[in-house]
Amino acid sequence: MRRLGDAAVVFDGRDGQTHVLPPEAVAVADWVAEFQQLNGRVSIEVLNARLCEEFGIDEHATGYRDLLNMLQEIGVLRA
Amino acid sequence: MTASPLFFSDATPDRIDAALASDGLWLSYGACRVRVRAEASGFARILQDVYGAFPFQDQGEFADFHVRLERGRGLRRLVKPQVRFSIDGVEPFEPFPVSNALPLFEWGVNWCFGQRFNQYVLLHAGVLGLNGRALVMPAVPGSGKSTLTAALMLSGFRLLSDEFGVLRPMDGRLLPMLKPVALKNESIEVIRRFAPDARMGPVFAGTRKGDVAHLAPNAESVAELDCELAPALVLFPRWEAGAALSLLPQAPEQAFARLAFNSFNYGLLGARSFNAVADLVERSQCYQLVYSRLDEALDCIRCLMTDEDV
Repeated sequence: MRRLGDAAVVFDGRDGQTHVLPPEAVAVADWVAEFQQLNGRVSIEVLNARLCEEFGIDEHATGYRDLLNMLQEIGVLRA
Repeated sequence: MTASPLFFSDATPDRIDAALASDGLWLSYGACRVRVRAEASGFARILQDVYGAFPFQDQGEFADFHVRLERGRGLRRLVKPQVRFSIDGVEPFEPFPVSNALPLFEWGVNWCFGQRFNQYVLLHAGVLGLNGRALVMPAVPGSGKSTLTAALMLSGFRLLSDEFGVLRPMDGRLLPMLKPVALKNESIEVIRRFAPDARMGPVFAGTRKGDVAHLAPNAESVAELDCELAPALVLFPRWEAGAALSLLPQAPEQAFARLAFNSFNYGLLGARSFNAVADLVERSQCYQLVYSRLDEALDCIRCLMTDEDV
């Protein structure tokens, strides 16, 4: 992953694909990295719950769960 | 005492013809060297028009590509004669009318370079230099890139390339791939009006890209064929009829995407091209320029390249 300003680009060596992460996605990835540093690896479900709690968002809203799944798919997040 | 180099403009068409018909001519584009042999009538004269400032070399030791332009076979030598382009026995294009030997040669060399020079990241971009720094102008077809590139060269910028931004992953520098600028359709008249003395080849009407004419690289650009440049500015130009000049910063991740996904070989080089393009974006200011008037666009770009207020 390379930071470009507040955003980032990610090269996934497994399939050779490149992904562009907007600043919002990078902020979430950073939050997850910090959370996991303190708490160890946890599941996407737990991450989603804690993220929603932290930012006061409805846990059943799909946005963060989708984003977390996508970050996991491209290798930025390990849950 | 060293003899002065002979340039294409100094050689007689007969001498060029003779070289093309025997051992060939060696053309140095900066990033690569091409040896061309040809038996197309009239090709020598046109080559001289658009490569006038290039060194004339009818003997050489090394070339990256050995290409040939040969006349059509059988009846095609006589009826509606054709010309064929080949490299190592491969003919990547259908034959062209013999009068269109230059566009075929130019596209042929582009094809060779785009197919084989994967030690570099090949951006689809014009590249120019000013004060030892490079301006990279990636653009999709129809955005006015070649017109702007031509006008910049005719206004004192050094031309490195109109088609290929040749980015060396190892150190992030840009190499020249200096070829005549292929102007299409309305751009031909625009540049003729902009610089009536500019050296341009004939208009080839009705090619697969419309009418095409080639603007000769100037002597100042040819003289620096061996000099690479570090990037300073990435500019995405777009010509729009009647538009007021507009210059907007381009978010770096968007600049990255537009550079990478318009590259000829980004996908092929994997992590090397990923890092090279990311480095390029990090080292450069990135803008989108919308313009309708060439003079305004040129002033704006000059200011950006000299760090003056725009």
